[in-house]
Amino acid sequence: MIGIVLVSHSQKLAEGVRDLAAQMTQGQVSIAVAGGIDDEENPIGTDPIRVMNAISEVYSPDGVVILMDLGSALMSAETALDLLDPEWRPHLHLCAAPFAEGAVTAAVQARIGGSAESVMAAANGALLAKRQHLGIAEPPTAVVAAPPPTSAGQRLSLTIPNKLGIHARPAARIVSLAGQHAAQLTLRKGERSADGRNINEVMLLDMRQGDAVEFFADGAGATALLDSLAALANENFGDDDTAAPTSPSGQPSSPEKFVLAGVAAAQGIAIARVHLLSTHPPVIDSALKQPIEDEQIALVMAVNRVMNALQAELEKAKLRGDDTQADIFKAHLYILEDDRLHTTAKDAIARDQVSAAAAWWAEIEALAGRYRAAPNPILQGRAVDVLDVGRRVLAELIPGSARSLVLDEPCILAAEDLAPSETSMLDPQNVLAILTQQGGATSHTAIIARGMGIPAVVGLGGGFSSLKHGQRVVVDGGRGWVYTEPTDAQIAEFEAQIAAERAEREVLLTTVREDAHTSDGRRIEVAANVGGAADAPRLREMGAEGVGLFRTELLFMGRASAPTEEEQILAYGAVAQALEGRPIIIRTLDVGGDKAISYIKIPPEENPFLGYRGIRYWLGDRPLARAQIRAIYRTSAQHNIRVMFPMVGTLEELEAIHAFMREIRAELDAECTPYDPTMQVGIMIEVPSAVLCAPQLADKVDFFSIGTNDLTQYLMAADRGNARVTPLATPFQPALLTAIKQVVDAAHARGKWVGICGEMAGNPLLTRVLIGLGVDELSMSAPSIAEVKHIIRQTSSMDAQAFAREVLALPTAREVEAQLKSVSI
Amino acid sequence: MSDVITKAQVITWLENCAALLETQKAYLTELDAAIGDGDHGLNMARGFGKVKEKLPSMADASIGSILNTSGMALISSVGGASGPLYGTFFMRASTAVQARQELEPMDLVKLMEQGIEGVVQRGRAEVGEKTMLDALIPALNALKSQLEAGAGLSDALDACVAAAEAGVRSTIPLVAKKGRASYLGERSVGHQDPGATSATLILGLLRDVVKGSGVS
Ligand SMILES: Nc1ncnc2c1ncn2[C@@H]1O[C@H](COP(=O)(O)OP(=O)(O)O)[C@@H](O)[C@H]1O
Ligand SMILES: [Mg+2]
Repeated sequence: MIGIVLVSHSQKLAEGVRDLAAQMTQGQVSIAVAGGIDDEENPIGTDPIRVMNAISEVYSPDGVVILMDLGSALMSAETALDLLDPEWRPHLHLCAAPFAEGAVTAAVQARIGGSAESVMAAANGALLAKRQHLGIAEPPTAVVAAPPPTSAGQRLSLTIPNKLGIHARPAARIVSLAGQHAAQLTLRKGERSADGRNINEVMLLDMRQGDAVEFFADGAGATALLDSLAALANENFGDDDTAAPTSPSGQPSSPEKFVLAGVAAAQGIAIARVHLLSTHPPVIDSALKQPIEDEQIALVMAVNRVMNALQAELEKAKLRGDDTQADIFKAHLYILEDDRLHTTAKDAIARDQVSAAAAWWAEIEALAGRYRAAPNPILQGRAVDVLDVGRRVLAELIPGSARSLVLDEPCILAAEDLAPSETSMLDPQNVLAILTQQGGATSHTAIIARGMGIPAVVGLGGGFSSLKHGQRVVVDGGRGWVYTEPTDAQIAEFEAQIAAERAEREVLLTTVREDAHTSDGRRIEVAANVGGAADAPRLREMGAEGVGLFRTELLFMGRASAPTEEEQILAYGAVAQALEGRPIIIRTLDVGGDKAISYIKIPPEENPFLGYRGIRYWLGDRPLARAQIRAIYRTSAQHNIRVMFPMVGTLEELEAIHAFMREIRAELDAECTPYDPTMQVGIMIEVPSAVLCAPQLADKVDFFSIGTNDLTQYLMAADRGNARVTPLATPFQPALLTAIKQVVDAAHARGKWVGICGEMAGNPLLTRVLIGLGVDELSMSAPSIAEVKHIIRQTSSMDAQAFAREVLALPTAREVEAQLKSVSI
Repeated sequence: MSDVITKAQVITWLENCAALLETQKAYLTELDAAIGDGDHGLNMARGFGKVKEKLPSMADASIGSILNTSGMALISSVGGASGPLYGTFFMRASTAVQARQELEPMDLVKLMEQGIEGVVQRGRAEVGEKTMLDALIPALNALKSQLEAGAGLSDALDACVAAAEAGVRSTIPLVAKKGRASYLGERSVGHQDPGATSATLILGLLRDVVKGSGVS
């Protein structure tokens, strides 16, 4: 549902208007107020920060309509839009409607589930009723809800003449004529009718060129009204069809001709031909070809195969540290785990005597339909995921039914919709950009496209149909625009922009191997997170100055028993070799939570994230711990190795680790096995208690590495995979920044160093503030290294400290985020 | 006096702005009361008061980050149209000078150019509409042409402030086309624009600091 924000100079006025609107809608509409300023003596004024907070309070991708009283309220609101996440921008609508009337009307329209466009239109027409009452002529584009339609009176039959049909402008002309005559107007097309004074109803009638439509008028002015409507129709409803093609109706407004506007989903520019992907619905033969039981078994096996594949993809994504992808695969698994889905499909095979494919697809479409009908937009978006997994199963049942995404040459891929699994399979070499008719900025497809660095414009709506296969277009993913007929000058300009971006990337790449220092000479170590030897060979080339987190889980997965000491030594040595003597931090096995390993039996737990995981398990599995720590020590004889332990929350745990390591060293000494007795030992800081005990813990380690992914979840008590609470688990939380500061201060006071190995470390938006907080090392997935190093080199550590102090003083995540982004306002 | 503006001078300038706008609160408010809602003095004093609070923590920061922080402080505290306008001015200006610790004369030109561009984008006003731009734009033009003609920074700033002062006076006969005062239409004629006045005060302080006559 659309949210509403009321911006006023006066808190009292804003609240009063809100109460008025809430009364009309029984409090069903989210309305937030931004009134007055932070000055008790002179509270009248407008505050962009308050506007920003109010928007965040009611934001959803459905949209927010913002009403302002006057004067600086407008500029404050515009400033707030600049400070908010640019992805929100297309969903935020500044509304010029009168404040009180507009708010009430907008709320009523929002309550009935109106789109942003209809809410804006309703609000903008809000003065009409008042004018009518006072006997003042209506402005031409005004709208009002009239009494229920009637079919009495006179009638005019018409065929819609104009190319684009009755889109917004002609609809407004009809409505305004209706408003000028003393008559009630009802439009009818087929079974459906619309009140001629309600612009939304008129537009929703969806009258297209060639449609037969009837106009009924009743009242004293009926004849005059129908005469003027006939005249308007003669004038092609005011449209000039000889002019160049304009973008079709219902589209977000485009800045110029030949530009389609959609939702900016992933940044970047691409110039190429369009490859239009057909949406051939899968061809399904419903005839039974084998006994019912065999069909049923085929279905169960197909589902199982897809679930196994998903499970494997999920594990891989987790190891890569790619939580977004992992979440998507998890969501897909949940869909298939729903027993009802197979049971109903299996029953349908027997009951309706149809093939497994037909029964399955009917179930999938029904389920997708239920999602689409859900009131919550996030749930609606999941229909795509249902169809996606559904199709994967179908492809198992009917080999060859998946659509081919293999492209022979670089082009711009256009499809009505792309499934997340399809998107993740695209080859960025050949897919220069993605265009879709459906979808929003938060759809899984959009998220994956961003992750893969493929520019994308989604939600092109009606404009999509004007794209032709083979047509050369320019896509500006950052703006959400598609230039359908780019001029030579535009192409030259965009090519220059692409070249400049490429040149910049190349400069980054040539300096990426050099160690990173701030502009005033402070060394910041930039390391990579790896999952195994396979990742290692290109790390130096990509700029890694070491490995800051070697996740050992992969070594233990996908096999029947734990790797032996010798096997581990080989694996650790291979990574160390590739890093040319740079330090490697090996993290001992972090099992539990959501990371399961078949031969490690942890009884099911109600709450695995708060359960037997990480060091808690490790210390209890002596044979496994012994083999691993011996392997690490033995590798340290040859290579620059450090060790670190996950999930340490108490001093006792750390002492237990030390005691265990002493035991192992004694063993090695007795065997005369060589190892490095000065190998650095550290712990991850990811349990909040470790933050609070950092001073005591720091005395007993060489370094800390802050695992910000888990730390954020535990600190905020918010699961990052749970969409309803993800806003809590952002890296911008003041509590998280304060925690990092405390850890760094405690460590530095004792001469110990601190790294960060969560996703935060690779987020360029946070680099400056992390340097300012005093962090010594940043460890990230390798592709982020070049950009982060570039920022480090441009940052002065003195500046960064001042900046960090500023940021630490901000009380809310929203303000932190705005401050970090404001550098580029 | 050397021909650069140091970071210390920038800080002193902002401190002086806070002090002067506090003492000129009543005057600016009176100007705004004639054609607006009578809050410009309060707004500016509150805003620069907030800027002043931030300055002590900025001793180690670059000029860019000082200006950026000041802009953010103005945006979040002024309360009137001048908040987003001056705030945008400073934030945009900061991108022109980035991590600098000192400003060359032409840096000042760039700083003002970008800042003014921000004001224009935010307020969509132009010269002659009775706004702060009537002081800022002539001031920038004078500064730039003097420097290009080879004048020293001090002389160029004298010309800059003189142009701003002339600009303020030029607002008196104008009909307001933007902001609160535009509600008054013809009745705004005969009054001096408060925003142009505050802009001129602020430029005057910059000149004083550069010439060494500003108090520290
Ligand atoms: N659109 C605009 N563009 C440039 N300057 C403007 C604009 N609107 C207002 N101003 C300036 O802002 C000043 C008024 O500021 P102030 O009183 O703080 O805000 P408000 O008008 O919201 O009370 C005006 O004197 C004028 O110089
Ligand atoms: Mg005012």
